[in-house]
Amino acid sequence: MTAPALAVLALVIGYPIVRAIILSFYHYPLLSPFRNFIGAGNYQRLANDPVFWQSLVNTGIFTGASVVLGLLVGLVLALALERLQGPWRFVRGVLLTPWAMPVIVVAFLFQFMFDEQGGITDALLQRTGIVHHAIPWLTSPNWAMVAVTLANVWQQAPFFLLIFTAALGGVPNEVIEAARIDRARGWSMVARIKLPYLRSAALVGALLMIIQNFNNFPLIWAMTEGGPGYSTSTLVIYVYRLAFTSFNVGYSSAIGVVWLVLLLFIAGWFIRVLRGQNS
Amino acid sequence: MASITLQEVEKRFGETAALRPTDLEIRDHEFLVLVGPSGSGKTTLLRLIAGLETLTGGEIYFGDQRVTDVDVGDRDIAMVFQNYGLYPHMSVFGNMAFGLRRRRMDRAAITDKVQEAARLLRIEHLLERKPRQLSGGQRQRVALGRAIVRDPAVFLLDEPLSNLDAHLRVQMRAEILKVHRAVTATAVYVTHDQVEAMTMGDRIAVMSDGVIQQVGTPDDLYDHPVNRFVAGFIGTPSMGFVECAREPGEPDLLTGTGVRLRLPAERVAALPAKAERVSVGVRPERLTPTGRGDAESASCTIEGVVEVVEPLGSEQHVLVAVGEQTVTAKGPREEHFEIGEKVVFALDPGHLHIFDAESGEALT
Repeated sequence: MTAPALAVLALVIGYPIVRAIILSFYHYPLLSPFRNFIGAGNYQRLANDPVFWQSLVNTGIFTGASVVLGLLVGLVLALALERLQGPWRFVRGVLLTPWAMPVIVVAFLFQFMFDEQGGITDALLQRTGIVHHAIPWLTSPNWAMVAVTLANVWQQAPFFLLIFTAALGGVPNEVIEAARIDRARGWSMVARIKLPYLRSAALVGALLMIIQNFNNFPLIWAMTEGGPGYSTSTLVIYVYRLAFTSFNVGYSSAIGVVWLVLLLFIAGWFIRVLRGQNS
Repeated sequence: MASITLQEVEKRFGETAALRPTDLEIRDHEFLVLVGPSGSGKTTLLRLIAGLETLTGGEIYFGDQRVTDVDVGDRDIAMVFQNYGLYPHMSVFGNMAFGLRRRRMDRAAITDKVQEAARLLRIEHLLERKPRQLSGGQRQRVALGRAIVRDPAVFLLDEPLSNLDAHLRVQMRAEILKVHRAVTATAVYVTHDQVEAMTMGDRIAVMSDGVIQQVGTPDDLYDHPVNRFVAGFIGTPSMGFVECAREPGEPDLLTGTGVRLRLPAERVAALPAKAERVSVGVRPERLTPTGRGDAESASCTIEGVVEVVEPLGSEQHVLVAVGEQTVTAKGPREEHFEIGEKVVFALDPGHLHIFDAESGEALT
């Protein structure tokens, strides 16, 4: 019964992976009719490629900061809005809208907001006296990663709000009431009683968002194209450039394979933690 | 330790009255059982005492202290929940110690208290385990332990045995009473099971439709129910009822289909003159089958047709159709009954419970 499903999976998932692994052992410029088998040549090259390492570090920073900040913002919002009742529940709905927006719209929205010439972010910061000169959000290598990460957090925090709201709804009433009788209030109620119930949701949400952010191409591409320089270039941006600007299929496949292995390790670790928690 | 006084306590959810204005006095150290069917308001009343619900009206006192507006954490109560309400991420020790830690008790005292409660409940060997590693009975013991470890003034139990199997329930009933004797707190116990109520309560409050129908000792409720609801709710099998009318010109005679009850003078005197239609209740153990000859000489008889026979090992229950009503007789299993057989029961008029047919209030 499962054979047809396995066959389809092998075709749509297995074949591209195997093909990428095979291509990673070739020098294969897309514009040339020839391709040469070079063994581990592409892997040796990436080990010494500073742009690859910078992209890997950028991917880590972008993914880590987005997931941690998104998770924290989502958690705080979920706890703050937990008691909303009746018509006030629409507030939760409103806060979910960024998550439903197309990424490209979010990218352009934040591009306008972070614009050095008349963007609302600089205008507000200057008017409130927090800064005295406009911050070059998208044109400075130091600030560009902050800008794309903030835009990403704005879009992804509602996802965490949603899963934490659902997880909070799953905390049994009797446990909350028992804790109230035991005099758990405020922070102790959150830290000692509610947060342990949110661990699985946090782990699953974080894993999903790590995978999504590892692969987040449109937001960064639309906001900075990986620049200035390589300051916001993540693995996905670098692979895109190699494959579709430089047409270097073999080398970009090698990076793709490393990228896949990294994600498999991360997913494996999360699944182990989750299993440990559930047993 | 404290008595509990409820004065005109009332709870409404919007237009729905979950608990109508209620007065109740629960004595210090007493084990009071609130019993009633689903939706009778018993859990609402318990939650009001706990402080988990806010009152719509009325006042609650623990001893002389007014606790109506006191936060649940400051009421000096402990509660055992139907689904235990244990903290799944904490060990058994952590569960029992949590309330003490929140009250800033020092570590050595907490350990002593938890050990003492664990010894009483025979769960010392489980202290390092998590709730998910425990059986239902063990979880219930832990929930009890968490409640008693703080020496609360008031001990509240909300259907704590309803998730356990029948055998374990009987065991835990005794366990809870043992714990209550050990801690001597005032206990309020909610159940829908009247057997639990009868076997555990010093006194029982029977509730229906958000109203306490009667408060009394188990014997009081069984022997002198104030209305038809209490009479039918207390006792297993339930009291059987037959509808009767007073014969014109014969005020001591009640008759109905298959029913002929001649009352002694003192019971007639206690009946209101206007009570023409009444509902007569008979406990199953008071229905003893009799021969035709004895029946003719008996002052009170009920005649019907056997519908169902339920053998229970030591005894049997016989469901008998009397006109359009069914009464249950309880007797030794040696007596033989056939389905469809006509039977006549002779009754002692002193064992009849007579209720107004309209209001259901007890008339004598």
